[in-house]
Amino acid sequence: MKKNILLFLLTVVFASCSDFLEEENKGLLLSETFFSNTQELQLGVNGIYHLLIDAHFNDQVTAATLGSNDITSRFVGFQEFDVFAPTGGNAQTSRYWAEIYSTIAAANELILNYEGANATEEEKRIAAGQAYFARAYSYFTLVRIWNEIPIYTENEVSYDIGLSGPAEVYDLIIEDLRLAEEMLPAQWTGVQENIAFTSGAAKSLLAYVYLTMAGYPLNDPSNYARAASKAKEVIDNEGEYGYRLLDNFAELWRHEARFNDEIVIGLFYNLDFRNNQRAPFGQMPTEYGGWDVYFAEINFFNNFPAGARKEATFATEFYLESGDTLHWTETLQRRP
Amino acid sequence: MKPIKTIVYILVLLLADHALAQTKAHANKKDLLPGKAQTAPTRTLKVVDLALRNMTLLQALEEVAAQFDVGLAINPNLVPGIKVNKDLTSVTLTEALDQLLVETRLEAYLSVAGNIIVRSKEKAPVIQERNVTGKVTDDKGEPLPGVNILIKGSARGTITDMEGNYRINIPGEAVTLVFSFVGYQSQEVNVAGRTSIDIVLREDMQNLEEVVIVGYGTQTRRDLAGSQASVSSKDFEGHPVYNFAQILQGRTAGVVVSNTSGSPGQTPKIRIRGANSISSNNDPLYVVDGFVSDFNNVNVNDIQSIDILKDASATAIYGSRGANGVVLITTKSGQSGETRVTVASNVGFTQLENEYDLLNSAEYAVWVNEHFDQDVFSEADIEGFRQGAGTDWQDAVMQTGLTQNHQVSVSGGREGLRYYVSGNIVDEEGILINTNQRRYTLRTNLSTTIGERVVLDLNINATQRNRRNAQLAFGSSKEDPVWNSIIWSPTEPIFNDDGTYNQDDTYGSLLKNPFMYATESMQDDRQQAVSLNINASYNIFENLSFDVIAGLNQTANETSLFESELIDVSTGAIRNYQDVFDWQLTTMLNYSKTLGEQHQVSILGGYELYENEVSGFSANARNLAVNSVAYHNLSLGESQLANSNYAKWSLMSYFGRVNYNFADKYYFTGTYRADGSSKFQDDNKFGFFPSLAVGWALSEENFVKDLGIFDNLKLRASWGVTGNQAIDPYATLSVLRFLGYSYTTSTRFPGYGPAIPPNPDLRWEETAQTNIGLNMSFLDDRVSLTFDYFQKNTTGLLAEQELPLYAGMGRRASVTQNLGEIENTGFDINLLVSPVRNDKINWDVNFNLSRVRNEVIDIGDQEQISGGSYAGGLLSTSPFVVRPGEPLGTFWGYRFLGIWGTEEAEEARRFGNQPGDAKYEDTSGDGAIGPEDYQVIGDANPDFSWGLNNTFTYKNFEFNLLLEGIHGRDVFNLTYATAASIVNDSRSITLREATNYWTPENQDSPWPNVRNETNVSHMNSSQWIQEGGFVKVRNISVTYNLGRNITKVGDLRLTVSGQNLFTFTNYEGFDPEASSTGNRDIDAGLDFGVYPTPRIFTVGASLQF
Repeated sequence: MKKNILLFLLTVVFASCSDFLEEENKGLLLSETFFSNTQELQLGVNGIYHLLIDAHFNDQVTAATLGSNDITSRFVGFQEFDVFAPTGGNAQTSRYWAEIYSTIAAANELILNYEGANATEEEKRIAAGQAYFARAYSYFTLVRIWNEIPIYTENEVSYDIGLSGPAEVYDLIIEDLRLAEEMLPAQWTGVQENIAFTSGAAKSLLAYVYLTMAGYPLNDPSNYARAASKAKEVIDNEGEYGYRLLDNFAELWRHEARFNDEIVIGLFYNLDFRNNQRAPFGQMPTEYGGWDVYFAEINFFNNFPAGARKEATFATEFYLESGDTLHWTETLQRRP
Repeated sequence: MKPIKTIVYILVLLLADHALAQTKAHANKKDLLPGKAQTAPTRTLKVVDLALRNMTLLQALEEVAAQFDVGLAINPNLVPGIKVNKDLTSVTLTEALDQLLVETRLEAYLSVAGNIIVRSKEKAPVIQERNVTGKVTDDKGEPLPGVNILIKGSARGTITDMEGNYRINIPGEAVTLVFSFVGYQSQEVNVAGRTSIDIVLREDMQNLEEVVIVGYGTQTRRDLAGSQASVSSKDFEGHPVYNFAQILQGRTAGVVVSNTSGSPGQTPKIRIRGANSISSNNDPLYVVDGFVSDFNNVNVNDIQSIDILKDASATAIYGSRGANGVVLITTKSGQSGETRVTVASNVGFTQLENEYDLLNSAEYAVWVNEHFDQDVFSEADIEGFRQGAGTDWQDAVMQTGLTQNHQVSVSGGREGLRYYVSGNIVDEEGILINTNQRRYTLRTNLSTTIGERVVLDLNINATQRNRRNAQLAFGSSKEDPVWNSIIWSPTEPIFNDDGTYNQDDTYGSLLKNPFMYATESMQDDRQQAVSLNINASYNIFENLSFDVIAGLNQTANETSLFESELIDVSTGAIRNYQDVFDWQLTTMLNYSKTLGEQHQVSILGGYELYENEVSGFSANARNLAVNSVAYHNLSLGESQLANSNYAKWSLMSYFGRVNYNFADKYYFTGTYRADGSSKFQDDNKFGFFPSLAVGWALSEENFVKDLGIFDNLKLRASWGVTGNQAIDPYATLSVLRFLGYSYTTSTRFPGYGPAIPPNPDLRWEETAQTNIGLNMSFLDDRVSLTFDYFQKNTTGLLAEQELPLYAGMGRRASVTQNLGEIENTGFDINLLVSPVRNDKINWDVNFNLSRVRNEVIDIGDQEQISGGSYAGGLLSTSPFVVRPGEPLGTFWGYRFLGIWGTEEAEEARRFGNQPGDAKYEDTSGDGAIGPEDYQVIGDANPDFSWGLNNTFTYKNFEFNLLLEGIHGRDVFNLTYATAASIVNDSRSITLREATNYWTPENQDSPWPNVRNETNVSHMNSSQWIQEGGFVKVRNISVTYNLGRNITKVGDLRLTVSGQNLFTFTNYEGFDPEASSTGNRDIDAGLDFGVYPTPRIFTVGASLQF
């Protein structure tokens, strides 16, 4: 009898559930189990756009263009690019490096997981297409600034991914963009209209990428033809893709016309939200609440032929909150 | 052995008559003729000749009994030692006895059973034999049942009853009674002329038979092969101890308890033999009555004993939770017998021990005028300050706090049921205004016997703790009132003329008025905890028992915060509610047996499940329309935000232990535990934790016995592995974070992206510990010494490793990894001495000394890991660093070399400095002072620490003195630094001595000339590293046991005491012990406005009836 009681007790106790040591997650969203349906795919895509906004908030992406003679910056980090002498410790680009890789990580996560989602093939394609586009775009900006970069397409922690040369990076960019142009819709409706990535945008970016590959550092002139034919697909099919040059160049900077047919890749900031969701004032003068991240080089401005184009290109007067108007010569940097 | 002999002897006396009768009856049968009964009268009529020559009376009586073939029942003590020389012819038994006893006071008769009974003629001789009565209690007045009382020089004695009362008949010549009881010091008492003697027995600290609590069981102290220490309730009774940790402070070797903050209710930092882990929690595991619990919920007065497990042999049975040592807390249980009620109250006050020597308002005004080279303050102003205008900010924010502790307990028991019920209220006011703690505790411990084989214990504890402004404990914010009370200009008033708060300090601090900040801060923390546990023990066979321990804790933590516009311009309120539910189910089989004469074996096997579930929510509101509702109506805010969280983890364990002891000489203990945790994945789920220990009681060996020196001498050695799994649940999984995007609209659509990468390879952090120990005692156990040397190596260290940026988790992102190794080596010495021990005076001394050397051996592929950030902006980098070869708690910064002297002008110029500027070491040699010149500038770990506890009792007085010393540690005094320098947030000097700065005429000054524009005073420099060693008088108390002299209803005790009365230190801040780093180990010994530990004076009374 005693033995029976004991055996009974032991059985009760030891026969407890075998999944006792499985982690039961309720409060956290985990990438292992996320991307399970249409809605979650969309949440992942929204996150990618958010990260792109973060990455471009401080205009660091303009670092790559500072080497030209049109703009310069008050920031040492950007000035280094202006004089073609960026250093490894460059504060501006290291921030951009971190944030653009965050975009890549978010895109990787979606790309690695979208196929298992309980969604239609079209819904999966559209979600993945935006992720491929974002990843290609991110690597494209990276490779142009740094040339040799780590290619990271997984989601596991790895401390020793080496640098890849531009050829490999461009291979990935082209592969991603080709997928994106197949997967993305040509037009969006609803809130995504005029802002989310389209197949036309993918083709346009692909043209830009080919164009870049034709020159330094790959120097492969055969890409000129590829660039031209990709661009022509978009130009010739305005009806389908909806991209055209605006009639009036100045319209591009008019607030009312901010969603327009000339914008291929657009990121929308919202003043109502805090922190990095607000519009970047990077290029605005300090007096305006901006940071003078970049402004026109004075010779470029002076030598620019006068006319409508010049008026549209340079902001020469700033309308302050106080109601006053500030001429560029009155600003701290004295630059338009 | 004496007590046992005594009992045996008494039993023999009682049984003698009966036993002899039986023997005789049996023997006589042989002589009997069948059918013919032989009766007593036949013996009475028998006639013999006796030659009783040259023998004692006793021998003569024995001879008589032998000749008449009857038994003899006699107390030999009664028989006078007289010689007999008599020839008796033809005498009957009666005649023989009469003739023998004629000159004595004895008489003899033949009992019905046929034995000679010899007894005293005088039935109750008033002078010769008398009654002594009394009561035996322990030193806290609890009655002691079963105490042996022996008349010295005889075998006569008695034992106390359940109420500790005794009554003994003693012969006239007896002068001394010996009171003895297992676990207590024996006492001899002179009884001459006394009829009532109450005795207080004191516990024998060195008793080897004492039962100590070990992991999942009990053992006698003699059988321990591992290293563990005990603190009994006797050691702290009478001291007004509010917090459990205070009990351990200074009382046990190898345990360091630091009051990192004096904020009421703040849990101290407790470390057993050093810190093992970089990023994990280094707190010991607390087990209350067999159940893992939070010690903060235990009322100190309910504690019966505390056992601290130190080496791996003792802790490895707790496996993955044992690496930081284990503290076993046993609460009181009811005793059988009459109901006992104890009422105890302590009332006291707390005060700041040391103040900074700051400029007074007039001196400060003069200094400001001089500093700015203009008359900021007019002569009239300064005269006004001399008359008392201005503010002593330290006085303004500090107060004398009232503390109270009231307790009622009822305990008792009757057949099959014992109970202990207590209620306790603690109310502590802090020394910083508007800080306090209130705690309410109720405990019920029941124990019942079901049938003959089952014992069921049920313990229920309920607590509520309320703390006001706990966030001010460590000075974590720059607005902190403790820090600002040092840097605010003494020339500033607290209030403006219109009665509103003065919000701006014109020349000193840029931060908020400390009086206002402390007064208007409103954070209320409330913790409610209920724990319930059941222990059922079923004795299956004589040697086999089965135990089930089931328990649960339900804890609700709530934080409510309100910030008026005086604290935060935008006003805000937060409510945060966290609900923790954890349960444990343990089943154990225990088998113990003695094989042959000398092999004792006991085996334990167990299985345990543990689960911990946290769920919570928080809501906050900003821009509250109305202040008066504080945090009670969040809907009044302009915007609200809500959040919720959930986490759960579980542990499944198998464990076992084998104890073997051969002839009380050789001891062996082996334990093993397998722990499976939900926090790890796949193959890493289970961790395995073995331990082995051996002990050799040399004092049982003849060659040691022959020395005649040692009462006890035992060598011990142990090795084992324990773990630390104090990582967060879900740490192996990749977590997503919220990232919204609005596309082209004004709505933010929710989105998610990766926040933490997956980390599936995370595994157990393991600590291997080797311990070698020695116990010895001599001089009748009056001196006993325990020595232990240990080495602990923690590998697979759980540490944050920074992720490469291309991992895409953002800047400064890191994941927990298993990397590196930390080593702790050291020793503990415990010395117990009883220099005086008699019935009037008892003096016990407990001295302990320990040393722990902590060293980071390896941290993977990184050169160093930075510590935490403090003092928002005042320090540009962390003042702490983890580097191989250095201990945790290493300071990192510039080395201050003094002041550039006039003759060094040229060299100073190289650094852009001039004479009078602060000089720092340029380790990189690049001619500039920058972060590349950082170096190790100090170590917050003590070289050694000691405690000295003296308990002195004289008659009804008890005196206690507890000292603690911590030596050879550094403290980074940033509070002092900012009072002595001009920095962003503190634009003037308030520290008196720092105004005596360098001038060409005052070249010896250690203070840089703050008027030099070229001077840069770095905050993270060795200039502010101060000696943090100290000796503190932790407790002085005097207790007087009045007994029932004044109140007839019960025993009264009065106590006057003081805690943290004096600190002997070279430290220049408030308190060298307090640290803004709180419970952390990478960071330690930083003083940035930390709340100092108060001095406490208390009077207490307890009444027991």
